[in-house]
Amino acid sequence: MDARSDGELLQAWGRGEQAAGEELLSRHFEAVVRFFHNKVDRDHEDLIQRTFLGCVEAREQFRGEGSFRAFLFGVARNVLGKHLRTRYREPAALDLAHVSAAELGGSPSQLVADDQQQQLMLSALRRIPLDHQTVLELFYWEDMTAVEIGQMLGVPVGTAKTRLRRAKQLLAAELSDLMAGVTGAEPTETRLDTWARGIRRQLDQESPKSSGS
Amino acid sequence: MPAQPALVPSPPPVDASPSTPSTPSTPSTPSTDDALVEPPMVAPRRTGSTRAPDAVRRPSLAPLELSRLRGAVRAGLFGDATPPPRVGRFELTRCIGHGGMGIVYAARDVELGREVAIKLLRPELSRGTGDALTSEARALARLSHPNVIAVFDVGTYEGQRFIAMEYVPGLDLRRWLEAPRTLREVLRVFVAAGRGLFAAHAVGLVHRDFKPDNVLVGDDGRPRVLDFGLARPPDTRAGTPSIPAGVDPLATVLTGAGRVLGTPAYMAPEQYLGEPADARSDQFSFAVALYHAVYGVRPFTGDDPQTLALSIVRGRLRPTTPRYPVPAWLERLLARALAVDPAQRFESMDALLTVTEARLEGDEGATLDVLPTRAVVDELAGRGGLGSTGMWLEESPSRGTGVAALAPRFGSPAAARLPAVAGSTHVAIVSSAGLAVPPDEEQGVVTSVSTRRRLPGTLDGSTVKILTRELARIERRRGALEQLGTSAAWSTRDLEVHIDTSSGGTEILVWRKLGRSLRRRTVLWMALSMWLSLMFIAGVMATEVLFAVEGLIPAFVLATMVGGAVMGHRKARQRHVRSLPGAQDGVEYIADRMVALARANEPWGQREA
Repeated sequence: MDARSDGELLQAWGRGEQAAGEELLSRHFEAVVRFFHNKVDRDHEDLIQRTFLGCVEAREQFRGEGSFRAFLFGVARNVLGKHLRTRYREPAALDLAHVSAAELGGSPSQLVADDQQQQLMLSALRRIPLDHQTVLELFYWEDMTAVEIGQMLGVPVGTAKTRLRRAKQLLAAELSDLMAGVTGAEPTETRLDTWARGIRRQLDQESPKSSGS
Repeated sequence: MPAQPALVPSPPPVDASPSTPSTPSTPSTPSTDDALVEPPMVAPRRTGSTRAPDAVRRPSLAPLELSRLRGAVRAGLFGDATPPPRVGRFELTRCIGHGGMGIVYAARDVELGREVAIKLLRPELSRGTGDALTSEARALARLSHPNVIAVFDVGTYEGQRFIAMEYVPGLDLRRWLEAPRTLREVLRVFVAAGRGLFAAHAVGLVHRDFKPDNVLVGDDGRPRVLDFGLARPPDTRAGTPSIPAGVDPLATVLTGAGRVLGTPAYMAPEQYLGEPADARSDQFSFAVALYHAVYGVRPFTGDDPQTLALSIVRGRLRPTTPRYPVPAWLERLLARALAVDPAQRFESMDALLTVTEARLEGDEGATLDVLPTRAVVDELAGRGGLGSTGMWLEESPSRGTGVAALAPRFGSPAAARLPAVAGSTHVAIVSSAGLAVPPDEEQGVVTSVSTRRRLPGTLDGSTVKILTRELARIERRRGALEQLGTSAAWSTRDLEVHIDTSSGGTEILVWRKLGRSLRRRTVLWMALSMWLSLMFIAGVMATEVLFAVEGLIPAFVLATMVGGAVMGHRKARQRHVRSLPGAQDGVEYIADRMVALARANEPWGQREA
């Protein structure tokens, strides 16, 4: 195992040291796979490869002061945007801040959902705008901090926190949409509903109450 | 899979075995629960180190797909030729699709050297006794029919069941239907697929999950039915299955024990009632798909599984304007195949198909050679059903022609250059029934779309409230509600919905005004093209060519600017006309939604069943 930091590995890879590249790839491979899996339905190998290549090419922009993961997912986000634009009917109109994976079509998530609850959460995530989906997934799945998320999006921490809060609200709204019309139904559904309400309450607790929407 | 520890300390975890081909199979939690999805309760708890609510936890990745991806990416980045992962004697080359049942790969049979398609079932579908599947696989292997995909091999790989099939380049039937097809073409393809179904029925196989996604139309034009007997049927002893809210009505639903329940939008009433599915259930699903292709909407409405299930079990067909002039025989045929009681349907697929084939052959008047008026929109999928299909240029190249065929429906008289095949009777039908209010016109293009629905009873104040709340949700804005006696009107700047009580019934009118959006579009495009003209002028000036003839400069500038403005104006109109079909589908969706809600909330709606 290599004890060097991600940044050092990146620079070494850039100088042509393949082992460093392999180490870097193996450290972040699964996270990058997760990044693309709930967003697009195919061409994953290509997208992942372009993300890592993009990192090497842009290594000058990463001088080790920020988080490598923020840099990595920033590149991944650009790769995603580029990819969607080549497939989208009206590229000019495609804005990751406003379009959701669900609206872009494609098949349901192929991440292995362990149960119905998680399946629901995955669908809800796919229904909020891509940037918000990304922010939430990085926050919950990759345990990135608001600071890192801010670096990834290229916005100040305050803005990143606002995004995160807004994303949680959107997710909560999608969850209630998905659960709509359930109350008073059979026990299974009711339980699922209770579960969703619990999640929503949690999301609400985490983000200070703000009015609107 | 056990829950991942939610908080991973940075630096990020290091994968200990990056190059081993695959981690062992997913440890699947064997579930003894055969009833559908009993989600274990998650108490809203927050343990100190857990950041995420339990279900927002990191999902797991299918191990084989992960190792395939790893190999492909490593090969791309470092050029090592890691051999692609193998499933038995098949080398997975690339992923060609994901579905509710599993992942489909293009693969190479290393022994026979031919290309095959490998469907790797989700681990939970691979659980349990293998006998049921192998007996079906044996039956399937005996079956050789041009309209059923050929199965080469069935096996298990690290606990995941796989099925090796012939590889057929083509489109699934859902995508195939997105292009404008004549009624004859549609019926031909359905008859062929139906022949495949019947061949399977003849050897005792029931599909249980027939839908357009499970029919592959090869580039040779031949449809083939996929996914026969891939999984075990639901346990009928478990009683009435219940489908949780929030599932996609177009996706296959699995029970907690990994049994296939069906696809909500296509499931027959008996499947909903927990009775065993038979060939006649397949006939029902087949008819749902055919109805959708012919009418442009599915026969049963319901935005959530409950209302959908209710309307299917009650056999309540939704009233709609068909996208083809539907011959009376076809209407009768569909009604019969969609009967709630299996005994009322055709005795076999063969009987249904024979009728259709006779009509196809007997039709000389070319009544079947008509194109549809609008694309098949997956009204259940996506948000509000707006444009969720056909967005990918790559997959539906014919979408453009579809829109062209739509033009007569919306265009101004000048724009109505009908394709010869469209048949004038057809267009006449649409123009009289398709629009509820004479469309507004502005700058020579249509600037409003509308639709109308009739209900047999009157609406209570509380139902009106429910309807307006739904409108606010769909539109994502609050509208003004005016109530005058028994009538109500809800309006925003762009949308008006009128609920009028007239003799013995209620009329719902949904009317969207697009003038404002057209004007906005026009301003935008004109500004853009004027700016471009300026850039052009500046460019030409820089070359100083024009200075030779000084008098020409003002004329040149003026001509370019005017030209730019005209171009911008035209472009805006073009865009506007292109957005009309979507807008029309939007109001249809709203109207259907209003009707469904009204029926669900009014006593007469329940009685009517």
